[in-house]
Amino acid sequence: MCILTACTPDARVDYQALVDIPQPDSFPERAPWSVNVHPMVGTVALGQKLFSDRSLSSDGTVSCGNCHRQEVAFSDAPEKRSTGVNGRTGGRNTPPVQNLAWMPSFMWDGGINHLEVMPIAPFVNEVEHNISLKEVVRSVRRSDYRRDFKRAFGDTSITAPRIIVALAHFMMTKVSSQSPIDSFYRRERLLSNAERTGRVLFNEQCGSCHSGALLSDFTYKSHPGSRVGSDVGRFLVSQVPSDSFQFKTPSLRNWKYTAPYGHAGQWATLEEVLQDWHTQGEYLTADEKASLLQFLSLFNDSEFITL
Amino acid sequence: MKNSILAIAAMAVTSILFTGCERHHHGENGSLNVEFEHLWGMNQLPFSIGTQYVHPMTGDTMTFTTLKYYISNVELTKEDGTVQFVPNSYYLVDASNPLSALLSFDSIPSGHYTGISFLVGVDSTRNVSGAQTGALDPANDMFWSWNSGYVFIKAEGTSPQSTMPNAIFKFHIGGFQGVNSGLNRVSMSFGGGMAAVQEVASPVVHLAVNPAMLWCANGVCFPGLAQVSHLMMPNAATAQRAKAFSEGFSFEHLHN
Repeated sequence: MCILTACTPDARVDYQALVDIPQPDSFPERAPWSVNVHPMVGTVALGQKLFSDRSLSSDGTVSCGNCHRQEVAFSDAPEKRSTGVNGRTGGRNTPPVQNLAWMPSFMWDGGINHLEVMPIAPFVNEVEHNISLKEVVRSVRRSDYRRDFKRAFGDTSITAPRIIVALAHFMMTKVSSQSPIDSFYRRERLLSNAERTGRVLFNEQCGSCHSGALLSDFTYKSHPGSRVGSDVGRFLVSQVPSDSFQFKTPSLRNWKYTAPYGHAGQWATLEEVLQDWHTQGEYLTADEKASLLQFLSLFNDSEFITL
Repeated sequence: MKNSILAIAAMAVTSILFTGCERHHHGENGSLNVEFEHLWGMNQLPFSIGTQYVHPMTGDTMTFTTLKYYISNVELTKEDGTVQFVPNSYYLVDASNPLSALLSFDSIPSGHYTGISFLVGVDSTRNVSGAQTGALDPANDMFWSWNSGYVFIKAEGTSPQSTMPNAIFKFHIGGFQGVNSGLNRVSMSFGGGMAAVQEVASPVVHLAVNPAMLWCANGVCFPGLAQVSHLMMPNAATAQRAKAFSEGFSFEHLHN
């Protein structure tokens, strides 16, 4: 049997095997939508291939990976706004693809309720991929994907639901949990005096919104300096007037790689974010700022951007 | 103990005998078909995509390029009042495609059915459960990409009254939660008649759908196309129109 199968490398890979999404003790429970989502070796591999496929755009230049690059934690740093088809500029700052299994909703306004339907938005957006799902399916059918679908789903049928499921499975595997703070949470490391001071300051000044190990409560808030242009944020999807100009609390994990910050990329540095708080009367001394930034540096995961 | 065992055995035998009788008379499954006929206004003009109509109440002139809507969660009422849920019943009716307007419910228990009930739209569960297939495949262009959820009713076309570029109108109506929900259940009897579902007979129930109800229902009219020609997300206005559209379904006749 071994002799017969040895000639095909596929025989050694179980494409239906589940891919483990780690659950660090410090992380909250996973988001409800993720309970029935089970990435497999085959679907993740297919998703990765689709993620980098530029043919899935109206002018053949834009892949998901154009604006979600691993070396910057799958964000599009240092761009304030990303470039889509025909050089068009996107509406908001591109968020990093990380720890999505714990996010209850997606986009700065939380308009998307499940990771599997997330890819539809950039596909059909006229300044991003500018391509209908029917055209995406046609493009994938024209390309060399039949074997990938067979491995992922057991047959070669190429459909829109399968494409977006595979993309979701791939993105869900992007877990950043190997930063220095994660070592601290696992009791493998201690905090320096400055880091301890920064932690206290952070919890006092920022921790009510940037809460927990993921540094987000995933609700919608108006931050000093977050009103930029006419983008009304959460109101767009909720139609509740009090939600105007509110945006989802972003995780600060991997901030070192993902500047600029804010939904419009309006802050080039964390110092600028703190400066906006300063103008609101939340004064921090230079030493306090330094301690705060030192503590926040613990949330940068160099392994995530290189593996 | 012995008596108990005997009693259980007797019940089992009785149960098997009764079940056997039931199966003999009514146990087979059949199909029931429902055909939607689109009829415009009180005068019930035959409706088709690409034909110009005048709205009898608002007076607006309009030509549809698209009319699509979801029918789901179908329930059939039997003559004894029991309700038969049709599993996995999701249908996208497209007025430009007659085949899509003929819904076939297969594997329905034989019997006499006196009424039908269905959602105009898609239940909340399927709106929050990620990638769906079949009629709910997001490639059918009935899914809001930026504010997750299905468009329950899509009506598009042109009108000289519209103030939009190229005189278009676009109504994308949906919303599965909260005060602006556009989800409505329609229930109706078969006018006192009965659809006799048998293994060898598939009755056809004809229902009328009046697209003009998007602008007026029960004598109350919404703003005409000169005022509102563009509704693209769940809000109070789309919730009203969804309810009005759902009231435009009526029983016509049935064939056994």
